[in-house]
Amino acid sequence: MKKFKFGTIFVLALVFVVAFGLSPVRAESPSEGGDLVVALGEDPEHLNPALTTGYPVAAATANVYSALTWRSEDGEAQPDLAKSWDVSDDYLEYTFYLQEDVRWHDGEAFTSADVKFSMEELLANYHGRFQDVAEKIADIETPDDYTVVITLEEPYAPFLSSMTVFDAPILPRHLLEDVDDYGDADITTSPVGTGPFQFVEWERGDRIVLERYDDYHGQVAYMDRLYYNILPDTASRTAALETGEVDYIMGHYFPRADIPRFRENPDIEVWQGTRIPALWFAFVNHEHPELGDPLVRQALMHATDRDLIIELSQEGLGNYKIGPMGASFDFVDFPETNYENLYPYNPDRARELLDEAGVDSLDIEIIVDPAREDLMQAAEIMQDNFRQIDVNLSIDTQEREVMIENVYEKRNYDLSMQSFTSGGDPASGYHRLYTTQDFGTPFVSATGYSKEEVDELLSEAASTPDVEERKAVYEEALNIIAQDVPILALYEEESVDVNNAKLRGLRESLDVRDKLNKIWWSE
Amino acid sequence: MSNNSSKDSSEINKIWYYFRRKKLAMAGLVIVAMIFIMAVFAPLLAPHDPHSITRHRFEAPGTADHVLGTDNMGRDILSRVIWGARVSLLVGILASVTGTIIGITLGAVSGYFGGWVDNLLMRITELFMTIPRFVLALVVISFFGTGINRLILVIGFLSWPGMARIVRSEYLTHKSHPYVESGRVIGMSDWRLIFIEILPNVMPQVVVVATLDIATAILLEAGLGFFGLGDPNLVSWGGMLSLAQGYLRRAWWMSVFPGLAISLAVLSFNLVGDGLNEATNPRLQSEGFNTAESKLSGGKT
Amino acid sequence: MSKKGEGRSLGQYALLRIAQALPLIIAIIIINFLLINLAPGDPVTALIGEFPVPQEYVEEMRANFGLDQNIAVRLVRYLGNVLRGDLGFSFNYRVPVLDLVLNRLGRTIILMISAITFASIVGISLGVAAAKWRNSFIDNFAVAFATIGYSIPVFWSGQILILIFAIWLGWLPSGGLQSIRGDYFGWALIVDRARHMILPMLALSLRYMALTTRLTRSSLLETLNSDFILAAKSRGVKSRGILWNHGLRNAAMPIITVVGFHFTFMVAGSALVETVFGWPGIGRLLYTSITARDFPVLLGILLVVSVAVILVTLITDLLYAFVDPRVTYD
Repeated sequence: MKKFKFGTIFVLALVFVVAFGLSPVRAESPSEGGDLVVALGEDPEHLNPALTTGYPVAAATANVYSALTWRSEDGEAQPDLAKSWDVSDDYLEYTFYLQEDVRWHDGEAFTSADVKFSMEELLANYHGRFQDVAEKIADIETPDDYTVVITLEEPYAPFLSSMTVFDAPILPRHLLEDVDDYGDADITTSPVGTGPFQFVEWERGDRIVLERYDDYHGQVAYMDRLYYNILPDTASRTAALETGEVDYIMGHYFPRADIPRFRENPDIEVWQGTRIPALWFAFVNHEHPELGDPLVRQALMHATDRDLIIELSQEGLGNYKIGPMGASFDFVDFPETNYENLYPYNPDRARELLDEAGVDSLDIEIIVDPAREDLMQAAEIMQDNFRQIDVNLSIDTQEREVMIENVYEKRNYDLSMQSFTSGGDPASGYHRLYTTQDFGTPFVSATGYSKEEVDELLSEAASTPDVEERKAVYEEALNIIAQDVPILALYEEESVDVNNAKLRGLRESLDVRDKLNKIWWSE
Repeated sequence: MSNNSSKDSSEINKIWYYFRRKKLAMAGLVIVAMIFIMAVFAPLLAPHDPHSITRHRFEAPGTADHVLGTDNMGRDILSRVIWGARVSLLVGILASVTGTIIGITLGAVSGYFGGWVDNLLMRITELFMTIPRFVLALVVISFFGTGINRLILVIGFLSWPGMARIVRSEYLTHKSHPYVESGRVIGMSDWRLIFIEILPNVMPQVVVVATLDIATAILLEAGLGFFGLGDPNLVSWGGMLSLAQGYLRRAWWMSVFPGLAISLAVLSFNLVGDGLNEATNPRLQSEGFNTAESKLSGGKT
Repeated sequence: MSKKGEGRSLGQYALLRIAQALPLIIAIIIINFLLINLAPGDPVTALIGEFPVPQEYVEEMRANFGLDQNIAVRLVRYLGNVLRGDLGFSFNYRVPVLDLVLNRLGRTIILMISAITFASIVGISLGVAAAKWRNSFIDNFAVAFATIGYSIPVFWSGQILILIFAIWLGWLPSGGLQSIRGDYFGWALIVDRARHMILPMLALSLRYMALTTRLTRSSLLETLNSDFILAAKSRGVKSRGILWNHGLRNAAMPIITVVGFHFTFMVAGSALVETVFGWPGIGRLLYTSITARDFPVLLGILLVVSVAVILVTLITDLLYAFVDPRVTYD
């Protein structure tokens, strides 16, 4: 027996060793070195993320600057410039304890004064998303160099998730406090931050070069250099990925049409998923005699084949079984407010509802920005769909700020195709679709929809940090909204990210643009 | 006194005689006719609704249902090519007509009256011929909006300089001809002379230029459509090529067929225009029509 | 027709033409300016990201770009600036317009010059061959080529070239200025860029090749048939001599005119070709500036391009006058 046992163990051990040796799945350890070439589809207008929320600006600077926190894949806030924080029981006071010994890329020390300056002087006045947060802030205090205490006027549920480099980047006070015009400051074109990469050079229209900052307070980058190459032409961009000239194209800049081809390529990894949800929809002008009737809007929802729109304009990526605030955040997703349950694609039913509303035929226009191919295609499909129910939809192409003027300032439109990001939380990005809004501000509701009850409920939802309580409030609000259908919510985006298969450590942050210091080459 | 009517019909007959003998010109005429038929009878000829979006995307040409394949939204390419003829012809012809009317008016006035009017108009013409046409059209349309009406107006308006120049030089020549002099002597008004007496004699040249202008207008419209400035509610060949640009690797047929259509349309109008040019201008009969008439007439290129 | 020497000299003629060109340039500036400022839309809103921005920031941006003053003031300011070489500041790129335009202009000019050169060489050779061997296969081919080539839209020939040479055969890149990763230097860089330029150049030159062929052929035919050539032949001058000395010299004039004239059209062609091939020149800049409502850049492009056209016309006029012994300089 002893002999047998020993033999068995020996054989088993041998089997394991052999299996382990032959198995291709080895635990990999990060290796240092190499460069990463990322493709951008447009040249940023400048490199100051405090002045604008534009995509390429943030993409190019998210690794040069830092913020108090960053969000990991699961949405949880992680320490960045703040090594820890305390939240008071009433959710009104947030105390951030900052990392000590952090230096700006030019050698100056980082202190709480930088945080206070960035938030009060820069972000509150210029940053579109932070502005909403700033309204809720009562006071910012800096009791010492490494502590920041932010007091809110009322609880704000998404507060912590609004402290990332995309919503509240921290800029150096010593380089900006004496500047009159921030747009002209040197730092706006030559960024100086506390992030894992420092700025080397920017050749306009060509590329932005960053290199590893060895004294970074967090995980020092594996890559030596980051290159952001600007390739406005989509064909060249994807070709560059195929030939290996470019290593990584973020979903925002990857043409959907090319996805199938890249899936078949063994050297390329195509990732799909939803990180920061965004909603694709059509504004409806409630001043319009027929469109102001909720029955008509419900009919239009029945008439639109949202599944087809996703299949044709998004290569099948996206979710149309959504409610008024999408379906990615589970505390706003309820079966009784899901549009696929309430208004599934059914042209006959649409026609019935139109008859009920007393509408025979309808001639309406939809305004679309022709530079947005995805919106144009959705509009074309809608046009074809509506033809089946005697609604004549004609497409009016208007360049972005002509569209802004007509839709937001003058409300001179019938329908308008849009897409809005959630900003990481429904309160950040989706509330603005359903709350009462004045004429004039772009990128908020332009429908004219105004219900006091909804305004109050949504305001309550924004200031209720407890998830379960929040969910209950949303359930009430969304039930009203789903019946009113103020906008035609078509689908929520599923994004793709396409990269060289040998890269590791991508997408560790909720927003794929930052934390590129965690990326390394596996071979 | 001019006997216009008999002169006109014999003039037309003579032109037709010369035109018929040019094989290429006749071929062009045949193609033009075919395009016309395609445009007029599109609803009958097209096997599918050109706007109908289906799930059968990127089907390669060769199937019975979709002879020329389908595009990225499952629409039948053959039907779209057929319907596209409407926009091209409509814009091409109307733009040419617009430009012709403006060109004749300005050219006639300029050539006939001369003096400061001529100088001023020629300066303006020179100005418009300097600014690159396409770029100006791009800028104007992208500012004031798309739509087939604006397209016709803008393209038409930009084509008057060419016509104006030709008409002007014709009027310069004609105004000192005997029949005009005698007209003046018996007291005909200038306007009557310009539009009723001289104009018919200038018409052959006008028709030639107008025909060639149609070809250019079709190219311009296609170009604007390619830049995304065409009418988004209508099927146009230029728009189809613009769409094809993003799918070259996946569906070559989205590019080949509309492009072929544009080329054939432009080619045919160019051939007809050239044929008319040679038929109305005997000096260019270098293939043997070496009559005394050709040696005597001034002739020009 | 008076002989050279009577009237003005070439130099005086040149000055006269330049003086005539100036009011033209000013008129162009005024037209562009009026046109663009009367258009709907507001460039400031184009710069705002996707989220609503405080009103004070918008006002600040507006003041920065001088958009809060009335139109007459802005026009005068602009005119003054242009004459000093300042074409304004790009809203979109935040660099001086002149720098931006000149930077891209270089790439477009390389493309256009190669295309014009290539088109002229091939076109003239073909045209000469066609005229020399009348009614032969070459002649027929040349005529067919000339007519067909002139009818094919530039952007379609570009797409076809990509389909054949980049996608199907894989011989050449499908677009862009140069390979991205490689840090090529010296010779390798030139070769790399040249490879990227072949297809766009071919696409751009097709139409002008066709036109040049046709013009050379017909111009030569006309000259060769003319009386003074017949006279030369009867004197026993060899046909080769006729072709080159007398024939081509006279035929050169319309060709020069056409080359200059078609520079204007090549601008349109290059805008289209640059879009098809992603070539980062003026054409692409034009397109992105239209989308972004970047007024100063649009004005800058229109101005620079129109001035370029005037210059080229000027040069060809002078060349024409120089070559043709019959023209006076009035």
